Amino acid sequence: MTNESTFPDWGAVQPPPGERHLPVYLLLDTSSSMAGAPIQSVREGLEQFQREVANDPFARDVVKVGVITFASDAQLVTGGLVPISDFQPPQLVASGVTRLDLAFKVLLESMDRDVRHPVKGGHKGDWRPVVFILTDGRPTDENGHETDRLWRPARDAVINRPKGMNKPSVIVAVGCGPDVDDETLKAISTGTAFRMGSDEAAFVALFQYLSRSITSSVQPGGDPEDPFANMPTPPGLVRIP
Amino acid sequence: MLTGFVIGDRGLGASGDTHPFWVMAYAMAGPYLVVGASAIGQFHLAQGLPRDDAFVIRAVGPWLAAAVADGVGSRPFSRYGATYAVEALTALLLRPLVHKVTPGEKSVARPLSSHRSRLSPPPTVEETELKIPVVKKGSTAWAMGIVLGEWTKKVEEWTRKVLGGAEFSPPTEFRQAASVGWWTLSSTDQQPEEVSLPDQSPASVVANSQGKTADRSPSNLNEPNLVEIVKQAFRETHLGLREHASRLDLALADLSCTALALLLNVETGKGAVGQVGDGAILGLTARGEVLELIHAPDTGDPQRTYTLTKPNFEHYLAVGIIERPAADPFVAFYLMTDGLSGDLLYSPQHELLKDWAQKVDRNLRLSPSLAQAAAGMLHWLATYQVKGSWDDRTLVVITQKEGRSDGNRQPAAGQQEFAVATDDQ
Repeated sequence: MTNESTFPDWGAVQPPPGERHLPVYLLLDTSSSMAGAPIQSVREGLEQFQREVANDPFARDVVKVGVITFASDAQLVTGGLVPISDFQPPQLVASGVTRLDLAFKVLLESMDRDVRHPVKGGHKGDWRPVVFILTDGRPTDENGHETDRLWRPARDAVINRPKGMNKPSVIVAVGCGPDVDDETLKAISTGTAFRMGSDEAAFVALFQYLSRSITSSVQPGGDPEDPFANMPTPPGLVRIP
Repeated sequence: MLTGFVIGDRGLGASGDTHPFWVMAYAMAGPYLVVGASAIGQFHLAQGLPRDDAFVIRAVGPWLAAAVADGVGSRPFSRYGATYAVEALTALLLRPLVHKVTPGEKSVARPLSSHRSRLSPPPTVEETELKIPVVKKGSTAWAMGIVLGEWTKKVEEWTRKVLGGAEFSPPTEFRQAASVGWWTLSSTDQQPEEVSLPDQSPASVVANSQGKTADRSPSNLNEPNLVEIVKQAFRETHLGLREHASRLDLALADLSCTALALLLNVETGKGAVGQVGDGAILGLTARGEVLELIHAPDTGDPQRTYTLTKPNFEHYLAVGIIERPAADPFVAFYLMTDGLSGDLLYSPQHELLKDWAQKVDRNLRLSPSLAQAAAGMLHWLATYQVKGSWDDRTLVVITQKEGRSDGNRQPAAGQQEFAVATDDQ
């Protein structure tokens, strides 16, 4: 004798629990050249980014944010990956040189620690991280001298990882202000790079664009190599060919 | 006379896009209840994008073929590839088996020819045979034509033998048998040759209960090599996709899709499976265990999948045979695209997967009718909520309604309670 119903009950059919997240890393240049209006605009942009992603019915459930600032040092100021609904844009202070290489090292450590690789019979795992880098100049060494010697191997260590290790689906580089170098930006990215002005409107446009690209990235089966492939570039942002 | 059916998504061609957001289909195949459903994902629905998944279930005589496919989201026309893949795979899986029936069974079903120039279907019957490309020497379609031509030649030779050396001439009556060719209706003046099949045994590759494969040698060369049939069906479907892309004036990559297929003899319970890309094929045993029948190579990246359109797809094609001990046979099979398998297979608690499989199986068999079973499954697919799970979801379930010894026997969909009592006698 059984107490089971003799009628179908689809409401009782549930897949095992498990969530998949989309890690979004924002690597923000906080060197001294960003002091003043640019750093303020970045912070306001982060607030706007948080609002828009948190209001998106799809992205709000899955996006986790990690903010890495880099100047003479680099640090994961969010402490880890934070659900977008809990994300509080940090206070940003501009000072020091532009050590992008250190930012890549912090990124690598966080990916290994905070991003879960999917394992059948284990856990659902996360999507590959999306990385945005915002800078207003060329990467430097500890003395402020522009150089490719440090950031290139650090970037390669992030990109060229063995199968089964976490690595970004895309690195998007954005340069703001008059001192950016198109060639360097393109080399920092995995193919998608932009330049823009340093006025407030440009930052507004940038973070709106980032928000939309996040939604694009979480589309099942979307093109992970270029979430911007089918998105028109907004005014104020120039895509570097 | 062999009978058959074909249900599921319609193939899409240049004549238009008829791919619905939601689709369900159902049938009985021997002792099995067969239900398929596919629901557009929430993201596609919100964005006004089409469903990219597709499925087809096809049967002829004792043979059942089911296939599901997922067109990749980055290609706007990938549903054309997915619908073609399931249409072609199921047809090509059955073709080598159509004139082979179970031991001792007589059949008047005769595969005559799929070559239109020799054999035109009657005007009163809708023509839905597998699309054979217009061939140019050296093209992929030409290569396909060689295969089909050889098949046609063998059929004609066999027909002459049956007719005692008389010249082959097209019969006057035909019946379409599930889109795999044209068949003569039962005729007293054409006594069929009895075709017998020995019991099938594992062919060259066997998927065991852990889903791993082991080499085996065929014990009888006359029996159909199901593993080879599955491989060949995938090869020819790949070639067909190339031609389909050409006809649609698209690049082959535009039709990128995964493909999963199951071939089952509903009388013996034996069969084979094949898979390229994401998704899963599961089996539920009489004792309630759930096994993944095949482990296709995984990219390790939830945003990437292998596809049937890649030139080197065979490198990622996993093929296995369905085999279980007689004491604990499979009683249900589940084919699904990754929109569902991604929600099912990653939990460390295997008991939850078993619970899911048993409940789905039970719900289908408890449904008052086949239509209600399919509608219930479609509704569930379209509405269950998991954070971050927005992909199209497709599920085909083939579940045994009779002769089960799993202690969970319930009246099948559309079956009265007394039917169960009869089984118990």
